[in-house]
Amino acid sequence: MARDNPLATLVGGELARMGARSATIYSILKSPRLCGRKMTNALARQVYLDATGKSSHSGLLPSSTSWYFDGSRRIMHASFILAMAWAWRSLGPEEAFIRSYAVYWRMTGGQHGADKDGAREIPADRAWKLVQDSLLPMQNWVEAKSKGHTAATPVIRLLRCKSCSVPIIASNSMLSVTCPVCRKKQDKKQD
Amino acid sequence: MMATKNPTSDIFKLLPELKALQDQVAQANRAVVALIQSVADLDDPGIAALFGISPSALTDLRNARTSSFNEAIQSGIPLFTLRITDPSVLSALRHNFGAEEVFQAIMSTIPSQEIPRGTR
Repeated sequence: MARDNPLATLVGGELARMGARSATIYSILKSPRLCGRKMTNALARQVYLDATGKSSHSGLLPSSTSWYFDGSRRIMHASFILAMAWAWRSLGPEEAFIRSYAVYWRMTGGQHGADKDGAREIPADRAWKLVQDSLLPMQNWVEAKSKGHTAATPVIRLLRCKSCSVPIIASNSMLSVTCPVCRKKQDKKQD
Repeated sequence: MMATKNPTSDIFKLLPELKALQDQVAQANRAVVALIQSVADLDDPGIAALFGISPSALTDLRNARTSSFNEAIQSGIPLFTLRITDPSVLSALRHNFGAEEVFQAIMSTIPSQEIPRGTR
């Protein structure tokens, strides 16, 4: 079944090897720009099985937004993934995610980079949730702001650090943001 | 006449280590120019962002020939700047590549003009 769909096998297989569950693979590849209606949950499960040799975990995908703000390292890694996806935003969230996570995955050691539990700081499922929920709302929000219009503030968006200007994730309640590295430096100065 | 044609040749006989270093710089310059031209040819906004290349610089680079950089390549002056010079980042690079400092250094050159600084 999976062999009949080379794109699903190739892209889905790589996503599975990067740690994405079959539900995430389905969610990404069902995009009309990728496999469209040919992608089904069953095909995603088969692609996962073929790529990893085991069945994908079932159950709900992670959905908490506060998770991304839990710890300096997590904030920086999530910011990097979303900043790269932002650079590829013209391709749509699915392709932007595939590219940004591939860069992140390689950067954090490729197949040898996972920690002892086999997970990255930002696992593929969490990264997809971040890009899926943030990229388009952020595009609309930035566009509206540039035209002087009002738009709903995305639940998570990028803002530039007040001190060093790197793009950092911010929740919709944060009006400005300081990156964890600058915050650490400021805390040291105050001590 | 020879001295006018190549005024630096004698001084470099006296400073062979400087000559060797400048040759290495020229070699690195050539590799960097070739690399950024490959990036420009790809015309991929994400890869360009990783290199800190803005969309307008990308267009400029795409229209330039490698040979137009020859004089600059041979100058012996590095055409590139190091992204990572902070001692804490250098240390993290060796022992803890996923550290926040490394990610900050990498992201510091990503063009992000459209991203707001804040909403106050």
